[in-house]
Amino acid sequence: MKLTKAALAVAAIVGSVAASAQTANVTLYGYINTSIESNRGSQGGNVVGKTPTSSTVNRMTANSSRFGFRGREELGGGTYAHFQLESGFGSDDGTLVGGVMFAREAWVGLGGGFGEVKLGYGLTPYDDVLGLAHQNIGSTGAQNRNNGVSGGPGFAFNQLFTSYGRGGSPSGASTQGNFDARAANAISYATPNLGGFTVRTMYSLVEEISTSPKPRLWDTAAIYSNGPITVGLTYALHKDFGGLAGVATGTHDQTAFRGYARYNFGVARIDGSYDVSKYKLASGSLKAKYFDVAVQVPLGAHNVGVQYSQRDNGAAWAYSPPIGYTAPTLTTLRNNWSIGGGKHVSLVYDYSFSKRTQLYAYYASMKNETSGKLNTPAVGIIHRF
Amino acid sequence: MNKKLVALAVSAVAAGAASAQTANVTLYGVVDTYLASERVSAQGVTPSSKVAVLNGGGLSGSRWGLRGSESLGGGVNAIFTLENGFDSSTGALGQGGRLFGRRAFVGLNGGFGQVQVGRDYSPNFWVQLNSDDTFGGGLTGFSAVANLGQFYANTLRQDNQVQYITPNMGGLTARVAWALGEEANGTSRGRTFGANVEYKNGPIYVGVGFSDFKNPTAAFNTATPPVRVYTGEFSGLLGTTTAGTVSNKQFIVGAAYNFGVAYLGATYMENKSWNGSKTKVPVGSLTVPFGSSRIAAQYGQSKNGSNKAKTFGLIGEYDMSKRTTAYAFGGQAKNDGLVNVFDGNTAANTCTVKGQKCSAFGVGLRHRF
Repeated sequence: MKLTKAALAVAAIVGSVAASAQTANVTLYGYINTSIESNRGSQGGNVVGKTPTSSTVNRMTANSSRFGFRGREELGGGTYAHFQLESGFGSDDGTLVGGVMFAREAWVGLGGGFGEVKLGYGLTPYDDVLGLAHQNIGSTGAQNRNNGVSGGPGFAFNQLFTSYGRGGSPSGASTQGNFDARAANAISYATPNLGGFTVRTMYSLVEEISTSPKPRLWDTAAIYSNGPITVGLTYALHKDFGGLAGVATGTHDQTAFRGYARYNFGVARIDGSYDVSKYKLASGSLKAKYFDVAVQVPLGAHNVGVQYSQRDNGAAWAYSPPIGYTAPTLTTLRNNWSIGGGKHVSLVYDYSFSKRTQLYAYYASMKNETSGKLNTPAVGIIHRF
Repeated sequence: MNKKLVALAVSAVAAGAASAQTANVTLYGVVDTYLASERVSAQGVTPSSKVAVLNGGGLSGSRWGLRGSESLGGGVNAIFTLENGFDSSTGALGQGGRLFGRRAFVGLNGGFGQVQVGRDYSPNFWVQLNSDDTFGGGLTGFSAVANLGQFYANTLRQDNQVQYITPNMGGLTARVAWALGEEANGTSRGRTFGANVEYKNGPIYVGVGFSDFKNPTAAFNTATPPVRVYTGEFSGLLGTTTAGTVSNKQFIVGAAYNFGVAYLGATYMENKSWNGSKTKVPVGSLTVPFGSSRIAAQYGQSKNGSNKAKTFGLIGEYDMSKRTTAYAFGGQAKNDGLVNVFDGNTAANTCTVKGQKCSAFGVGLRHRF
């Protein structure tokens, strides 16, 4: 039987033993975002001895495509049990992201008048605030720090804006990842919504690691959202995490602070983020600052946006590593050459056929401190179910 | 796939997303498992080996999937299909551990036809499928008798594929597919271009397809003789040459006619590798229905120069309902010198070695939902 009403969530066909008396429902949902990009990169000559070269790759990209189940069971007295299981897959090649069935979300919890508790694996509160900046194109929009560019020809451009911290991985060993990543073995608590104001905090246990260093993660976010105004603040503490930018040497305490604000004027939506991440080393610390500003103008079903973002202070880390920090090898630098600072500007256009289906196009241009450039025109389609 | 829809279809809602539009999502699947005895004999060398196996996908590859469409107005729909393949005898993910290794695409359709992006079948595959009513459209699909070299790498399913399908014009449709190679420095490296034209009207089917696969890297398999024509999903190129400079081409033509008392089908495929090595694969099949039962036979050859391999399969199917089919089969393959021709299956008891003779017989059950 095909159900044709979008509003219908699935009545879970639970074994007769299980949910006999209670009301239950499970929703199957998904998000497919597939784009075709032309990554046009070039590297200038620079102090770390890279050979000037250029490269173009035409590619199809799955931008955080996913499907999942979520459900809730009323337990009486306003209390409910809830869960979410979300799988990431390549909408360009069908692959299973991370080789893990539910690599995006996998948690169960309780909710009610007291707020919500979740146990398991999922996005950190830091990402709750980071995610506020995601505009219409979802998690790889040109407005977002990923810039819709999920890696260029040997460049790993993502690292320009994301690989400055480590969070969790679904396999449990939480020494890998970014501040915007997910945490495994995590417990999180969110307050009830108090007039638009919520706070969520998460602690991640690292049960699988018995030898030092034992990384721990504690993330907290406060978000206020009311009418045209949205404001978010988050502070993330990663204690005794592994090395930076893929160089797994030593341990570091890592912290990130992020602020976000948005005002919707109706004719336009303006937002901006500011982010400071810090890495404590054996001697001294590294600091990287990032900001972005964006404007989005809706024109009926059309939407036009522009974003500028910038990250600084990557250079010291890349070229003159401080004492206590093992420098990345030239190969590492070459492969992740964007770990220095950089600038990025993007223009995006999207057209909404419906609330669930969009076509989009963007042009993103990035430049890093070592004269590397990457220009990316792209077109894509998003479908939600 | 399923025509009869089942009770566990799902209408999905993304929170806040699907407010106004009409949507439907269908959960569907096939579970097909068979028990067989497989025998492999190496020509006059060792005694034949025999093994009992429980395998998935005798008639149809076991799968589950989600598909849906959303009406966008003006006759235009957004569509998607996400189809997982799995081994119903072990529970393992198929297609090399992919989640949606069979099909994963999103697109739009309407009066203009259909445009889709993602992973899906090549245009050539449809010609083979539609001109053969036996063994789920494939060559005898039993591990000892499987994969008679019919597909080059990247000509069964393709990643990163942009496909356009014309509207049905009085039975006539055409597909054009371009699968990006995603290789740096040169836009044609690793790309596959393919197209087909099909005509289906009443009892008649005729189809023709073509594909061109550019080598993605310089160093390929240098097997001698270079006749490694099927190695699963993506490898299997021949010889050594410079990246992006040569093409491996495939041509297929297929036809079928439904006489009512019997369904007769034939295909001819030619794989031409960059070095001129040609593999020719003719296949013929006949299906005779008896009420809710069918008997089908299929014969195929793979020839490369003086090397030749043959496969023959016979199957009886009984539909217990529209969704459940029991079947019994027997099949044999003979590898008369076409080295590595059956390379699609890495199981120890497949006919990958020159001089081997392989046979299988067994029973199975397929259930669709």
